[in-house]
Amino acid sequence: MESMRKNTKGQWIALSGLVISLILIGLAALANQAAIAGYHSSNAALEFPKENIRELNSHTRDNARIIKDLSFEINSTSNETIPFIFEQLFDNYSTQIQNLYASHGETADVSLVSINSTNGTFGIDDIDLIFVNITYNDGSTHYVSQPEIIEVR
Amino acid sequence: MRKLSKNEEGVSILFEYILFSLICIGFFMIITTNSDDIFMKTPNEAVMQDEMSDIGNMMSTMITDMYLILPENGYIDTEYRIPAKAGREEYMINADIAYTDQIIEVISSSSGKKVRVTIGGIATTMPINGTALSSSTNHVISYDSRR
Repeated sequence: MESMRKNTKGQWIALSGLVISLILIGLAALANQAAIAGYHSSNAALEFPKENIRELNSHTRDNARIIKDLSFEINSTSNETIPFIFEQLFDNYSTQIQNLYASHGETADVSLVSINSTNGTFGIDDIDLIFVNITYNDGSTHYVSQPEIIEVR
Repeated sequence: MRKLSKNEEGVSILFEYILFSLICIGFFMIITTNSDDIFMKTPNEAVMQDEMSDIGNMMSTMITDMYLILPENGYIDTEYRIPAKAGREEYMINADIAYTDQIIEVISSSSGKKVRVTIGGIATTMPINGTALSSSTNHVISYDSRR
């Protein structure tokens, strides 16, 4: 057997080693570029509290309708007026929303501005618009809707 | 005559030395004169292109998202964070041409590099304007229905 030092029959192996190492260097450069691409755009889509604000809005709309129906139900068995019951129920809802949002580090507040009716009386078909102030703040995004006009008919 | 491929006798060591030296000197001359282009400018271009279109897309995403939840009566403002430099250069986000062209530009003032991102036709229903420098401390997008 020839000694390793004098054996020169390894040209192709040496050459393929070089080619493979060059390919690896190229791949590493590509992978490094790919790692930084698209961070900010995807981060903006994730971090911006779009869904939170939409939920707060649609919950408030839904609940205004539910509260209206509930206050008529309660009114049939109690002496309180409908606006009074409505305000009480809405205050409850407001407290719950504040606690819920505070538990994931956001400030949210919904407060009743006015209950509007077309002819001044508060019958089941008369109350049509509820005005509500909605504010939301998560530290970087500040949302204020005052008033949010909710149709409850 | 032996075949050329089987002939293992090459040039003399002295001549080989001169040949190699000349090749190496030529090679290194080319490399040194172009080193700034090859090692700094080209990678910087690639990184800037990536980062600037990334930031343009971020602005486009945020504006579209805000547009979806705008209050009818009220206001919304949101802070965002962007890197002070793309590659080695500061840049400016320019939304002033959004109204006519439906695009947002990210421009580097030092090299003039420019990346444009569309905002999907929002500006026809709602005017969008303003510029933001990457080096300023606060960046805010805001909307107010009363303005």
